[in-house]
Amino acid sequence: MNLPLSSKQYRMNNTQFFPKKIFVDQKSLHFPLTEKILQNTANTPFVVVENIQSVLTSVPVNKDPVSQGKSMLLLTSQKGDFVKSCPCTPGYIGCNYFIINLDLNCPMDCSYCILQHYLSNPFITVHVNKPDLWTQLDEFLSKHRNRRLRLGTGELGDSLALDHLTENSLELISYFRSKTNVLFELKTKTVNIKNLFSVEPAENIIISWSLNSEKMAQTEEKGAPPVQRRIEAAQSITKRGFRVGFHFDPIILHPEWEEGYAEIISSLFASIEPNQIAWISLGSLRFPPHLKPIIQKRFPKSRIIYEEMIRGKDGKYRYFKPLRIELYRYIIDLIRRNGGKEVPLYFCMESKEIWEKGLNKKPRDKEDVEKSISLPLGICR
Amino acid sequence: MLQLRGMRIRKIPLEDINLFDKRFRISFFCSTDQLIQSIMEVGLIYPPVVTQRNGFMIPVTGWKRILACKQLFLSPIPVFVSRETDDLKSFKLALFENLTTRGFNLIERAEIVSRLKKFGEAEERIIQGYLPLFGIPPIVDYYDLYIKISRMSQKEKRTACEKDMALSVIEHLIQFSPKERKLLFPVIVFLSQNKQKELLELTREISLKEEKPVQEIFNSSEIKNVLLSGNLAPIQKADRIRLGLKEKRFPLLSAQERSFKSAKRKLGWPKDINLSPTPYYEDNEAHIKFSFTGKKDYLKKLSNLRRMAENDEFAALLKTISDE
Repeated sequence: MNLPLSSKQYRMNNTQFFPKKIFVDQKSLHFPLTEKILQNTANTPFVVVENIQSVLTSVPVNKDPVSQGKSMLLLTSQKGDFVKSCPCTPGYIGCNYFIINLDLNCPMDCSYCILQHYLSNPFITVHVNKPDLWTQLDEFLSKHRNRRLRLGTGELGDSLALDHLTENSLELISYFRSKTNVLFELKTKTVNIKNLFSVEPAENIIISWSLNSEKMAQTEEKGAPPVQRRIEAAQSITKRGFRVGFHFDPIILHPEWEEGYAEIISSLFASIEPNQIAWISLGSLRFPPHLKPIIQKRFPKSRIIYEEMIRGKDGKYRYFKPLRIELYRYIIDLIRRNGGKEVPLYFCMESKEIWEKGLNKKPRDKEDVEKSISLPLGICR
Repeated sequence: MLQLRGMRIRKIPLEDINLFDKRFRISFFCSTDQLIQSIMEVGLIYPPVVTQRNGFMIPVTGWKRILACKQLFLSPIPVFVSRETDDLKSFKLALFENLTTRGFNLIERAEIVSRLKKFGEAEERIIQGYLPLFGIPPIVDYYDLYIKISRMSQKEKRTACEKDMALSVIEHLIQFSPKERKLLFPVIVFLSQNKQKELLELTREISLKEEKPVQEIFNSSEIKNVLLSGNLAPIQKADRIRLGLKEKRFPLLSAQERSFKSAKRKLGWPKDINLSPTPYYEDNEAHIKFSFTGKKDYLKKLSNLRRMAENDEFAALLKTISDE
């Protein structure tokens, strides 16, 4: 096994997130994770609050509450279910993924991010009641012990953006290591991977990165590291022994998009052995109508919403179908030609027709999609 | 002597009231016809409120009443004279007097918000305390929107009032510069609300995507030809421009729609059977809808459908639905 890279190499004080203020739900004060986060943010002022709702209304709201919320951390308890089925989107094929809602929101500020519209609370929120998480996970996994499962934490937040504060990755990896019917995924745009060097890798743990063209990362993914650095982080993680995944999502049409994605895919396969890639997902830009005015207001220089987009079967804006087929075929061809012939590919929130025309596959439902992603791993046989 | 909150009632000649000082005026673009009739019938029931500024009496409330009296050559008229020297307090008097007796139109609401700001009311207080009075959510975005509306030219405000333009349309309009609005206003006024919004949205998005000023888009030969056409009514011109912009904004979709229509025409698709693709051709299927009266009619329509399928052009029609 390769030696882990030095912690210095991945300690990026300039890009790691530290909140300006922390609110702690009084009822969540006693959890060890609360204590850990407060220790890891020793210089940050914190307030213990009796009622979270009062925090939401007491903070003076400025003209951009989304940005404002990104500088504040709320430590509270998950009152509902930690584990939920990924809702996908009506009218399109899902992939049978399950999400763990541990952290909500994210310090990065991507123009296309659905969370700008989706979350009722603008603060970066960490659910600290981990004992409840383990209990719920035990129950959930016991209920589904006879099937393969894919679970991840990166749906309503970035899996690693707060990891230097929460160290969640360590416990999650340790927990899932022995659950051989589960593929557990940590999904990120960051290079905040220091903790991953202090935990043993396992075959069913996938660390994955969202990738885009460098131009899009630069203009539309504010606060996220350049894509090349993400690939470098992924490379070091594979050297550590982890398998990795990649998500080209959202794929965005922009001037010279072909060259932009070609460069990244070429760099990806020059850095990482295809057999270390668990999967690559593809999804083109899509967003609910309510997000459009938010993007226009918060990112007036962004032009990504002005390509030829129509309202899909789910009511969301997405590229007109021939454009989607063109861009998917182009990117799939790049992946295949660069060495990713055997890498499992899947679409996120796409139609049967796109599956057929893009990947020459005819999944009937999300179970079919799931099988095509999980089977090559040789688990759950 | 009649007194109201420290205000004394007096009779003063109309020429002593400076109607050029409109700082407290709230009523915009309103007709005084009904009021004139009322005053002629029963006299001036409620005296207006005036106050002194720079040596002149200026109206605080009752603008329309003063104008109506002027048109009736009634002078002197009874007025309440307010000794309030603070403009914000005087404006609040005008505002609340009007609020209890009538609603405000969009432009008036914008003027009120802007005037409150001008007279020194705190932004937060306007948002939380005043916006809800007009049925506006207490959100900073709405405050900003109404401030922007208040900056429109008098001509634009008058048109917006006269045409009873919706807030959602004005919201789109104010995203354009005054110069651009000059081009857009005369075109959109003839359209329905949804089409007004659509035309504005299309124009803005083309302008942003192609990095072209609106002037350049409207200077294109296609739009110029429509605008200069002598055969088209204003509403037809506006609608042609809207459709032209739609083609420009959605070239692939427009091309597919054209191909579909053309293939249907070539095939001689029966007019009494409705054939439509899924919205935006998102699915590679089509829908057929027809009504029938009895078995004979039903079989006739089925036979027509079979005839369509046997035609060589049918494959071309299918291609416009299902092929990328």
